[in-house]
Amino acid sequence: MNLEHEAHIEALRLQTRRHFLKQCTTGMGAMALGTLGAFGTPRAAGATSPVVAALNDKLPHFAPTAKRVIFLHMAGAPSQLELFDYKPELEKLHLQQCPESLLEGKRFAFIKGIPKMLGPQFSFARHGQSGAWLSDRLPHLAEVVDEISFLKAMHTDEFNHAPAQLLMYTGSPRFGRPSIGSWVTYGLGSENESLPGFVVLLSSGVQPDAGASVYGSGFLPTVFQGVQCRSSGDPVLYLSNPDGMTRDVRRRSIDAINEINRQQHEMVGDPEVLTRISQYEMAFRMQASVPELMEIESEPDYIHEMYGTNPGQTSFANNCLLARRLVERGVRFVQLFHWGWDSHGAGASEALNIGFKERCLETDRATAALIKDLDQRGLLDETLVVWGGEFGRTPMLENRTGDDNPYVGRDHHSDCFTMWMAGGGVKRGFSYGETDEIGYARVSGSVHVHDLQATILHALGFDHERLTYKFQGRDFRLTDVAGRVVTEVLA
Amino acid sequence: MQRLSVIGGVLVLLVLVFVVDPAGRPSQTGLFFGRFHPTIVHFPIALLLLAGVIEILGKGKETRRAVPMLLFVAAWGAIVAAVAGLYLGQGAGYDMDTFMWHQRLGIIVAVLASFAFVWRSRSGAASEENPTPEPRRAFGGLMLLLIGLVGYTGHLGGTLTHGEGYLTRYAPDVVRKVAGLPPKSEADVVDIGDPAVATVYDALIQPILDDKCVGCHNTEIRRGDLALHTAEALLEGGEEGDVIQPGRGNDSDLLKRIRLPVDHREHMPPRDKRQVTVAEAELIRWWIDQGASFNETIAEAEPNESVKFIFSAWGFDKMPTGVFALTVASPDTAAIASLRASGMRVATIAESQPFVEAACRQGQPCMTAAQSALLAQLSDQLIWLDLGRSEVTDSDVAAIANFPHLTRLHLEGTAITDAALNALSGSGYLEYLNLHSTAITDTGLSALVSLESLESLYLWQTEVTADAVDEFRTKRPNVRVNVGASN
Repeated sequence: MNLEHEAHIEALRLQTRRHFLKQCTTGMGAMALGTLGAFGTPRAAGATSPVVAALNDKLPHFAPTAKRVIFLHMAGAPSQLELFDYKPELEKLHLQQCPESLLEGKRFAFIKGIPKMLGPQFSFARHGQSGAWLSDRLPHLAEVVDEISFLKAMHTDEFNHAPAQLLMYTGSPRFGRPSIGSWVTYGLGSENESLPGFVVLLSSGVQPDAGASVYGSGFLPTVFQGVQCRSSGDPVLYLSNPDGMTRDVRRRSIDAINEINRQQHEMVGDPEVLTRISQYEMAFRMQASVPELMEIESEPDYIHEMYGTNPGQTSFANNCLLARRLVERGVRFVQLFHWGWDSHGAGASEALNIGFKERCLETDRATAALIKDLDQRGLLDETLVVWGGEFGRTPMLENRTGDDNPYVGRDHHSDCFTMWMAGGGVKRGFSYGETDEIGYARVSGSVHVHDLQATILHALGFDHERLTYKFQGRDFRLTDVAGRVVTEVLA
Repeated sequence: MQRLSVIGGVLVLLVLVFVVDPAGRPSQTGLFFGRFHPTIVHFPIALLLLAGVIEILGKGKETRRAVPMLLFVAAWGAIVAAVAGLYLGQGAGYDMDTFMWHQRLGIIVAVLASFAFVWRSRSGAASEENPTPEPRRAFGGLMLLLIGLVGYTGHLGGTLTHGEGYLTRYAPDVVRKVAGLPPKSEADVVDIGDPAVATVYDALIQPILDDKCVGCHNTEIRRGDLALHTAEALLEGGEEGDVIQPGRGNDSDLLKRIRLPVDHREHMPPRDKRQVTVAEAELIRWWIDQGASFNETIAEAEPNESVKFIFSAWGFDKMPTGVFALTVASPDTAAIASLRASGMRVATIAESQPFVEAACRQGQPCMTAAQSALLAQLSDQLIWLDLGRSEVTDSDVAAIANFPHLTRLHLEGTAITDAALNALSGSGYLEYLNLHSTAITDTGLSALVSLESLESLYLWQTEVTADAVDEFRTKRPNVRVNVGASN
């Protein structure tokens, strides 16, 4: 492709509706002439678009400490006060009225009036050489706690699930921005031509509140969007051939479709057409690679035992095992969502004393197994594992239904929560940040969601301020106009 | 106008009489008046320019009638400015050469402007009846001379205030060439270069002084008899003695001045100048606390927590260590292209890095003779090599062992034996070695004790015994040996 052609495509990509309307004033004649010109220009055969070129290997800004990321998202926001952030003082205040000074100028998603304080619901103990506090809900994680860096003073801007999830994954609480996995594949390309660079795995049967936007590509070319793989049924929707369609026939039909698309591209020059061609090719290769990938039955028994997997079902454990198989095959970004952590206490499944315990049982063993399994394969050293929800929960009891509610719960809290990272370039057995003695406010080591994103990108070798994409006339980036690399947790 | 001139003359005499200290010292009143020099001086500059332009380019007598009036105000402005300048010059330690020329030329401008006024107002009256071109041409020449003098005197004044080279500091190289200056030095660019060579002082401290202090503390201006433009000048101190006390940052005058409240008379830099930032002050304090060494390199320095933080904000907290500190030639791009064509994944590890990573792809040929030969062409640059789950053999590993800079090597799931590890035992930079699911035994492990840079070793599903691992751990307590969590 010559420079002029490239510039032309770039200009077209930056065109907006306003440009179109503005140009309309020059009249239809000019438009007709313009099209004539475009049709008259012969295009070099086999030209590759910037989009397709972008899928090839690209270089990070500096030497990375992690080549891949597994992001374990506990959707609904688990209570840090029942898992990591041990607050004996809060125990003493259990069921006392919350002082009004704590409520002044604060807004909560559900708490109204003056709530009572709620002490930690589970007992805590220190684990590992690092002496990290963990509740008794996480017996398996306790075994790998020395591999982990905790971020105990995380904070976010949003206290509702959908915007907080969007902020966590796209850097903005509103729709339309590319997700972190898309940014990473846009920046690094893919290591495996037969698999997407960004794979999403959902368990617990609930989509993230913000929908597919938390793994969408926004204004980045659609090749960078997250591809959802399912651990039961068709692994990728519509991936298998219909009955009676052989692989040969499929190959020939894709060749024919691609040829038509190529002609279309020569005519209109839209790079998205080339994206479509490469997607067809990728899908064809995935028809062979994905079933093999998804066959977790092929794993030995001790691995199933370790993760607690149930082949054939949809479970967090299966997804953790899949995540390992994916990073083993060079997938850049694996995003897991597990819903059910929204412990308001408005029902059994939402209660700290019932549903929350079940979520811990569903996830603890597999999470720890993932870390151990990655480590024994030498993969943890180059894979960054991130765990967390979209925000935290209040030290106050939320009691929407009245005093004799058998279900215990906490409200959404954006001021502080705990996340953790392990592997690829992160300190082992480390904890950063502190909250006050009741876990209500941050005291030191604040890490905003944008800081976390900057840190993840840094581990992958990116300066988060330089990983940009021009859209609607300005350079966009994941961390918007904020973000500090939390060098304190980097090894 | 003559009456005005008389009044003006009397006023100037009064000023001279009343503010001159008989002992010759600069008086407070004189200094107060002197500080108006920069304010006043702009009026005659502008008016002389205007008078000259009207005189030379103005068409018709009516237009040019403004010239005597303009010259009158300009001349008086120049006289008052020159007198103010005399007082200002007593107050501060300016570079004598530049100062003397500025002073002389300033006085010459005032005298010439007065002369021009007298000449123009007389000949102007005569020319009403007898417009001869000669005096006009000569007068125009005088005005041109005046404008030129004003311009150069003003430039000298600017040099006195802002320091030598102020005007041309950011000039493009074309302009610098015309002005006979050397091209912009690399030192102007924020690039500390090689931290093993760049000293803390040259790379971090002097730039702060250059940016915030040297404007008034240099060979030209030397306020407080202090210059800060070189290490020698800094050590020399000023009229109040040493400005740094090595080892005692907080007691050093340099820091004390910076930290005084901004309104304080002795606070530096003065209130209206750009201030030293908290981070810069902390950096200076740390440097003095460390002994104010002029030779210590950044790599040798031991940053405290806050300096580490500053370093990280500047992006050089990650000083290159190990293999990254080496200077290595750029990789052979033809070899990379050929390796890619042969089915391997090869790329430099980051932009502006010469180092290369390579990996075999599943189902593609791996470590064929041709590939080995191509990899050997990249032996200096190759640092990460992933041959996991490939057909690699012991003899391939023996060839790899000659690559001097390998830091990460994946050999998991291959048919290699202990012989391969013997070959590897001299790899001085090897940090990561993955041997899980291979047939290596205790013999192979014992060969790895000599890998001095080794940090992580993966031995899951090998023939290595627990006893041998324990022994290895005793010898190399800092290596993480992973024997697996499941069997």
